[in-house]
Amino acid sequence: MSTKRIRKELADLGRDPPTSCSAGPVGDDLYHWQASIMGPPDSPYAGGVFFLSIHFPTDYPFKPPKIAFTTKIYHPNINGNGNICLDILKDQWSPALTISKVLLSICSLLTDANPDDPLVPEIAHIYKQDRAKYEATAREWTKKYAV
Amino acid sequence: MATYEEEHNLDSRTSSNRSQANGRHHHTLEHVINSFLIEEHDSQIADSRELFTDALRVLYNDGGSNVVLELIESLQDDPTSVHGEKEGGVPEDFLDSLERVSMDELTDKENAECPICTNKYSDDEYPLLVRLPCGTKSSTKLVKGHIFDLQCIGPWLKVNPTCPLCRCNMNELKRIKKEQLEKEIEKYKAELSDEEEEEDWDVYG
Repeated sequence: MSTKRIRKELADLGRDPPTSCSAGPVGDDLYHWQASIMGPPDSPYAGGVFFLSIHFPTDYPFKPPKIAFTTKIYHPNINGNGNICLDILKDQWSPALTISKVLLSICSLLTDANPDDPLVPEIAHIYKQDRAKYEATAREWTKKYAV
Repeated sequence: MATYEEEHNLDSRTSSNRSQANGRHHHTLEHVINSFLIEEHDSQIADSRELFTDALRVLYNDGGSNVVLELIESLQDDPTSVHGEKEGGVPEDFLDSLERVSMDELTDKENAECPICTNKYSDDEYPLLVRLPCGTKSSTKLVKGHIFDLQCIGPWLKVNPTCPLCRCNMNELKRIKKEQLEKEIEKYKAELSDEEEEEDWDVYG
């Protein structure tokens, strides 16, 4: 079932691509995709293009896809390995979710970070204590790694 | 034209026998209530898991191997564990109890698709659709439950008791239903004892 469902998602992405996101297989392997997200205009990531790797488990969509940033990013919920702390990628996954919906969720995580459930406590601390400093560093990293 | 039984490789003789056996023979009320109250399957798994974890702990205290510690942790992390918030999936008989939906009930028969496999129901010659009992909570307004292919929702509910579309927890619903049932029984019992008292009054009064 997973192969058919992934093919359908790929076709849907081609027919009706979400704004500011794209995704597709890296090579011949249908279970390994690359995705890109444009930094949201109302965030310190504006102007950057962020790449992500997507690995589908063989029992997709019953298990969530493994998604990680391959572009370095300064964010309270994304760590140095690119791992993302997002509930729908873990215990809140639903088989009715699609890659397109998940990428949109990651986009909104870039705009609205969740410092109360941080993956990088240091960044979360700065985010809460000194928002201007957080934004400046995030903009700096975007310029350095994502432009 | 092939009959339904032939398509599904069923022996029409045995299936009619079975339906006769099931159709006329009703479970007793006690039977039905017990199926709500007793969740033997889950507790058995939990017990054996605990037993095994305890045995591993003894092993760890004796030898102190990290491998044993990792095993203990992995047992506690098990997503199908009955402990914690998610508490595993629904019991086996829950899937059998789901309401079957015929294609004629769908609003857009031609284009309706299963939210999980995203295939159109109409592509399947004999689609087997079920409706989850979501939205029957008194707090939410009464909406009809979400519909899925049985072959898609089955494996999901076995490890995760929530509706993929509204996250309504099936085990939670069952608990609410059970409480309502118990209340009904209490009420009924109270009424019965009231009647008995009245009868007593008749005798002595």
